[in-house]
Amino acid sequence: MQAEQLAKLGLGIAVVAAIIAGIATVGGPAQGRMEKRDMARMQDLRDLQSYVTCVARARDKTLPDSLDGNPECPRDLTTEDPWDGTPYTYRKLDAISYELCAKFELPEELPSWQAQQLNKETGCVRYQYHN
Amino acid sequence: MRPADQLATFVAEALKAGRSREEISAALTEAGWTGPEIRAALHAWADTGFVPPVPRPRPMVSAKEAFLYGLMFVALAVTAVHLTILGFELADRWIPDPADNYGYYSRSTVRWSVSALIVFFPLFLWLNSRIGKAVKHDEGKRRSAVRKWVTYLTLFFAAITLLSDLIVVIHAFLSGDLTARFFTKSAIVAVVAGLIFLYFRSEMKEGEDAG
Repeated sequence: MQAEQLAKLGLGIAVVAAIIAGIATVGGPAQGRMEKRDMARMQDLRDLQSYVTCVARARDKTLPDSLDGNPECPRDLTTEDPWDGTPYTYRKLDAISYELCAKFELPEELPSWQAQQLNKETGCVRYQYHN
Repeated sequence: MRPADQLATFVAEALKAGRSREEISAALTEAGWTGPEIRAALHAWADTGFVPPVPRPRPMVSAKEAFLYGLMFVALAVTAVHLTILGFELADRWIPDPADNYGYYSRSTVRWSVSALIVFFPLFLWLNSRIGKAVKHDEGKRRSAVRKWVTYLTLFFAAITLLSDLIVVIHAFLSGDLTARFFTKSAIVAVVAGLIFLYFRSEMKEGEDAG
């Protein structure tokens, strides 16, 4: 009987501790929401990247100067943050590289495979155009 | 022959031999059967005085019992699995190991395991205390076949888990992989399986007299 109580108590402590540590590690629903928004922003940047690639391909490997006014690739793009309305920025760095920036809320929490080229301080992702 | 069958046969033969229900009841009490078991055994034969005794219709196994024990077993299994997964995720998050590229920590897994524990651990505790009360009320329930099966099945899985964990630890030790993170994970598995083993071993001891 005593072993039974001990085991139940141990299991209870382990479960409660694991739940508390788990929630403390990943944060509550508000943080989950922020992560979702950041992933959507990242996806928007990726769409813009494929748009830029398409324009550059159409213009014989020349990167566009801005995101609008490129009739070569008509696409339905999200060019501003859907939550706070800040426009995503596009900057040409040299002949083949450019960066796209967004305002991320929790850039350090983006999964590593999504945030490989992301500069976590500026919120900019650097891309290179390859043919 | 199963004990329950022996009991039924004994009661039938005794009634056939013209023994009174009081006599049979006294003999069974002396042999260690509990009140509810004796009542159930006597109730299986209609009290009409007709010889041979007439059986009453009755269900074969307790479906309710199977439901309760089955649900408790699943609740315990889900609790154990998610406790382990959550522990692994936390180890991946908090214990750095540059050589281990596989330990990928996922927030969504952590949230999922937390949710599973919030649902299934209280369910396990509730079913457990409910079954505990029923057993206290009627000691004959310890001899329940469903109870025995669930207990031994749990012990079986816990034992297999503990033994496998031991193999994995020895293998890691020999390959030089006994890092802090790995050690923590093995300890988590050992503690979870060990607690469950401890819990059900006492159950098993209590019901030893029934086959």
